[in-house]
Amino acid sequence: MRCPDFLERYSDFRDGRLTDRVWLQQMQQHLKACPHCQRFHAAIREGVEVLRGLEPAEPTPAFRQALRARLADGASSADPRGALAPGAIAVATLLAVAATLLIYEGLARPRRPSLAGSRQSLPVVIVNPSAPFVSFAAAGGGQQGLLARWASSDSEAIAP
Amino acid sequence: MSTVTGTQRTSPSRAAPRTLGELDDSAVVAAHLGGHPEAFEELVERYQKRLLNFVYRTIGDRERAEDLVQEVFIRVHRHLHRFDQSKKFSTWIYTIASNLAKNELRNRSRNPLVLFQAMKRSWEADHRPLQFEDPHHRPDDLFRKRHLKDLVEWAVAQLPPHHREVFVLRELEGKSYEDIAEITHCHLGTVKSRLNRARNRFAQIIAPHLD
Repeated sequence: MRCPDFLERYSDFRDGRLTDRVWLQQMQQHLKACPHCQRFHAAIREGVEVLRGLEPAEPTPAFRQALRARLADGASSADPRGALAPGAIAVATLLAVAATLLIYEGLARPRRPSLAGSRQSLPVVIVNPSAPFVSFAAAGGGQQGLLARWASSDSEAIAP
Repeated sequence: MSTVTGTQRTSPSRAAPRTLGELDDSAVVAAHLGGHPEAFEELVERYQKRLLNFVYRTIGDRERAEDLVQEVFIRVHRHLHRFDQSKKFSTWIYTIASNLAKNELRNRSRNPLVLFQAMKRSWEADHRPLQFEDPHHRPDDLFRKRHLKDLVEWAVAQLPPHHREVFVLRELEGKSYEDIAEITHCHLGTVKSRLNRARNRFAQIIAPHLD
């Protein structure tokens, strides 16, 4: 067995998960023979021992009190089984407003005549539009006056 | 100490009331859900120190770790009715703690000010007053011991967060690979490879100082 093989299976070996007896024997033999892997194994063993021996962090005396206060706050404001959360209230309000607007819109809009029986003529589509028709007779000042105004005007609106 | 009857899942045939401290986690959970609010206190008592150390070792900030552990208990209290009682309570509560610790590390990496404050706090801890130690030990031993402790703590802090989490869960909390996989939402193979890498790195850091 080479060192990389040993290192690859080291966690299973250390945690007693290496069930294959052949591999287990080879690991043990390699550990006996290889100073590099012995050093590695000792570092893990001793390091973890020191780590486990470190003084554990203790919760401060105020921990429980603060937790109780936070739980009491939470119980009054954010109990999922009791009152609704603020987000849910906002969403519900928005939905209610939207529904009201939709209903109002439906009621307030003037009724359209039913399609059956009321035919409306569609606008005629002019394929080649020309100058708008101008009734000379309708304009004040007679035909001559209008022609004179037309001749003197530079308006494009009535130009051919 | 309060007593509970009727809600125990462990020994329903036993009629005599038992103290909460005698019940296993699932029975305490059942007691809380069955209307014994004091059962929640028992859960806090059982897990506050373990979770504090787990979160502290994972994020490296003692004060913040305490805030996060409080948050864990608040979430447990809020969602306990949704907890699948066929599963292990300890795995569930560690999963919540692990998620919060990960979020904390993620936020910290995005916010340099928070990172700086955490570094400043741990730097200030080095300036604590000297304490007298056991006079029966030789000064060399004392120095080596203190040096090793600091070194080991530092070595753990040097591991990448997702390796550190697996390492702490295995070596300090003694969790099984399967539980770690569930807590960290990883495959078993990922847990193995992360643990192997964490151990390699840990050994690389401390081995030169053990000779």
